[in-house]
Amino acid sequence: MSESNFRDELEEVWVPKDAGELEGLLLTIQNESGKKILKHKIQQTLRKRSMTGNWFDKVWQDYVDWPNVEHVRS
Amino acid sequence: MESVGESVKINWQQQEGKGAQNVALKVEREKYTTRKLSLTLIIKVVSTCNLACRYCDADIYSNRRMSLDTVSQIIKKALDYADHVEFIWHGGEPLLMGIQFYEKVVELQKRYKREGQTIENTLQTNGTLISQEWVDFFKANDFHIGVSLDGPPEVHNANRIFKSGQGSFEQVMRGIRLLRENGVKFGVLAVITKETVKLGAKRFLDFFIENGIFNIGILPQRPALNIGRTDALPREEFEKFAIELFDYWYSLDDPRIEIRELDAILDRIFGAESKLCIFGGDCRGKIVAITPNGDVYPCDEFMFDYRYKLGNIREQTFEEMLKPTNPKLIRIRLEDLKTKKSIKCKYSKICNYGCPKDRYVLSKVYNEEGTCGWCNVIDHIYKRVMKDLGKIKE
Repeated sequence: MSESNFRDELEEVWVPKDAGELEGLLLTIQNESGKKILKHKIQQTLRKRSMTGNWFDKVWQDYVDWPNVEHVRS
Repeated sequence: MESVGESVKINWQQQEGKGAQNVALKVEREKYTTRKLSLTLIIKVVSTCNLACRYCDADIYSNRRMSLDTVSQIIKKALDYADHVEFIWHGGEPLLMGIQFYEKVVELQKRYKREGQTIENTLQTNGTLISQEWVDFFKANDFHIGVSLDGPPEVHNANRIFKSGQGSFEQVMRGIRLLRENGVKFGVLAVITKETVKLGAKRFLDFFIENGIFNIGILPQRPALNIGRTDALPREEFEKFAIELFDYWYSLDDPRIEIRELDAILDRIFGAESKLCIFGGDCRGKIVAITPNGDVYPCDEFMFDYRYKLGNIREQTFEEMLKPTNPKLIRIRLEDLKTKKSIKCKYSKICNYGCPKDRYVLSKVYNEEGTCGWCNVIDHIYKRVMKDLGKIKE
């Protein structure tokens, strides 16, 4: 297995920005054959959101770089 | 003003100083005020085990057992502290404590539980001692059971042996049959060793499916640091195996089959919080492990180093030990930060920098900075998912 060169890639990793985008994705693959795991995981994510009443739009920001520079400096 | 690079060079002693206290974890405090407080406890009720697995780092030749008084204090203080508490009963082999111990546990949980609180019980066992009596207890009290099963006999018995040297496969499978036949919720946890790699991912997964086991967790064999052993499955071999496992699992396309780590990666790609701690972000202060004598550590993965000890539950409360301004917790978080900072991988959005212990081992034991140990696996899964969602071309 060759190691990925992802550390050198500059493009951003896509993440859904909100539930609507995720619902849209589900719609686009809904009628395609297979992809059951993907459909299941998207549905599960949407269901969890409705169960908790939360959609952490800032989910990445919350975790990506904690504690951030400001906190460490203070 | 010091840079982050400089600040993480602060030594342990300095980190306990007032400057570090001022880190104050404002972010954490905000989280506490906006979310219900959740606490996961890994409770090592007994140090000994009836097995002597070759890769295990448990102190199985001592026989330290948790007293009822200690477990009572743990339950009371946990339910005083958090809104949701997950009790993970662990060892050694936790079934060696006997059913009466757990009957008392359930009684204490009922006594101290407040309105609106939720409790989960999980027990991680080697499976060899599971009997009908245990199964009845698990079912009656809604315990979720994790069984350690590495795969088919040639893989499992290579490491998971009794003290006599005999393999434990048959006894474990008997226990699993009892769980399944009685409808107890269970999953298996498989340590991935060189024997698993030799077997191959397809045969590994087929074995579980053929035996009606659809909830599988995988973890690489790690070095047993507390007994001074550094042998482990190399990262590259684990990643290669995990990628092969993903490809096979994904090709089966059956959502009934859950592979905990792969499911968690997909959760993260789709924006969900990870149920699995290693991709869950900041675990410090949310998960703690407790030794039979009540010593509290941030996770059982750090019990090898006394510097990580947060306190003792017989002398302190969780509130005292886990408050964001606790200098010991701040010091540990800053230590974590050191191993995070070298990771420049764009997938850190997904892995949340992985498990602090894995980073610790990779960077300090194997001098391998800049990875959480899952980078290539996530890269592979991400690209495959993006392709299937039409977001990237073939």
